[in-house]
Amino acid sequence: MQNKTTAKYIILGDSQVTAFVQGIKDKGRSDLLAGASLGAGSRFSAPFFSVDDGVLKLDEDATLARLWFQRVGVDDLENCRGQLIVSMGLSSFRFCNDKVWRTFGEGRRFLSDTLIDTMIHDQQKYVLEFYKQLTERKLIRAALLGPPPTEDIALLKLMSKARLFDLARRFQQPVINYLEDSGVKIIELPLARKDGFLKSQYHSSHQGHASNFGSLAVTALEEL
Amino acid sequence: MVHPYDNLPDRNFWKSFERDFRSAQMLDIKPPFSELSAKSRIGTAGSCFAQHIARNLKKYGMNFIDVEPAPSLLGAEQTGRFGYDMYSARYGNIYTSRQLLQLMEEAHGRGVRSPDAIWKRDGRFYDALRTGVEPLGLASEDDVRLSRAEHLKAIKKMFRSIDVFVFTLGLTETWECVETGTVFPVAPGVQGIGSYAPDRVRFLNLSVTDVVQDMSRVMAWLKRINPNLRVLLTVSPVPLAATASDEHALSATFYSKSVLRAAVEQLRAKFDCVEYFPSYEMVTFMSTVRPAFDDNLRNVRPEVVEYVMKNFFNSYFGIPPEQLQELAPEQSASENEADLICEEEALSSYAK
Repeated sequence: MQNKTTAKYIILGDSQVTAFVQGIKDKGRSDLLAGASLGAGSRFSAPFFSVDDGVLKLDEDATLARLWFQRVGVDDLENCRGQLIVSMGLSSFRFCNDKVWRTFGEGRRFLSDTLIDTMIHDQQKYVLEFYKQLTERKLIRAALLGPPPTEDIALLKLMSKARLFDLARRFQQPVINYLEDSGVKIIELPLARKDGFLKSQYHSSHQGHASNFGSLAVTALEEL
Repeated sequence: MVHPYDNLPDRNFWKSFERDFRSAQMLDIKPPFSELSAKSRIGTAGSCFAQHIARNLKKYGMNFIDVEPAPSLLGAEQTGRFGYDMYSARYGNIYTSRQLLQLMEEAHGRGVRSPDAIWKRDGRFYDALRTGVEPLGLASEDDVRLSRAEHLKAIKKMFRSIDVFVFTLGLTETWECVETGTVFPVAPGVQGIGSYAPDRVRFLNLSVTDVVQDMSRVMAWLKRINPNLRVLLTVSPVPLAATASDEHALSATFYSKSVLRAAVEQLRAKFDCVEYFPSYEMVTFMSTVRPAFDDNLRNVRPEVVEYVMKNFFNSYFGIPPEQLQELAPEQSASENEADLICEEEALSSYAK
């Protein structure tokens, strides 16, 4: 049983984690947060954890999971009670940019709302189960909402803005619903313009990420 | 030659069948046309049992044509619920010759059927001609029309692009709109989808003549669209879940299957490009040797399906069973009839 981290919170999850941790570091507040990414969001649409004899374990075959434990200085998720901030299933970038929308959707092959919801369920089912495990074990402190899309996102060549935001909302909704029902705080940094797109000052070299939001991140953590 | 049976091959004698069948050896089924190859572009449609053919063609890496593949983000266990991965297009089960004819005609611009072909349940809208492909229906009638128009476009493409069309005839019983003649795969009202009005929808039990006429018209369409297309017919061995006739379910089943089997023979005689694979006979006769059906006497047991499919590949692709497994990417679970998507099965739940 060890938890050597000196940080108040520990973050894990998709690639949004890297940008968030960097933002905190940039502000010299590593005392607030430790952690690292476990991989791209796609990793969590397949099994990535198990519960063996009641013990919650990340898939240790994944190099990034092993590195995460080393970097954070804990040997077991169960030792992170009330400390975990999770970024999973709350960034719609990957889902909205999937090649499926080149074939299906507005002006292309018809896809029913039920089918879209079923696809989302298939993508989010492991994430939802993971959140459930974290909540039941009182490990989770908050979840991190991914940044809004940038207005130059390539997907807008394939679909309308309204459709893009609808897809993004639909993707996040099952996770948001669960977290809200479970009383888990969702950190949503004020990165969006009035029209919903990412403010230009937070643009990153990667379209799916934001940057330069360190102060906002620090404030959000201090207010938890 | 002493008599007409003198020089006949082994396969013509029941004794050879008894020997091969008892020991689960491959039957010497005459290959249709010329042998198929892994390159032959194959399309499939038909009654529930036909799903086994599509599954196995895919499993063993044959050139199975699917013009309406599932969206990549949909989990494999969900695709069947939405009518994907069952056949070469998302038409769900096509139980009768009339249903196939209707589809061909509609795909090629004959007959607008939408007024009587959109059913409702709980404020959602269903394509009455394939209720099974959207388990919770669609948001509007326009969505049904849009989805159907795309489906019909895909079907046209499919029939133009295949070399062989495998069609499994399943039933003779169907339900027809009195006003338009539209037939439905499932009676309105079943599972609460649509509403049954006896003055608007009538029961139809096709005869041999009906089936031959329907399929002859289908063949005429196919000849026009794809002159070199070959058609491989099979008859589903799966008994009727229920009959709407006055007969006992057993008699109704055997009537249905006998009509279909007799019709197939007439079609073979009529069209050079039509062949028949005796999966129906294999399954029904298997019961004399070992159990062919599950306890419900309806679902074909996985090992029997496997035997049928081995014969299929052995006869038509020249792939003996010992080589077949090498073609599968990994050890796959046995085929299970209970995994098939079968709207007709819903009728079983109405038994008292």
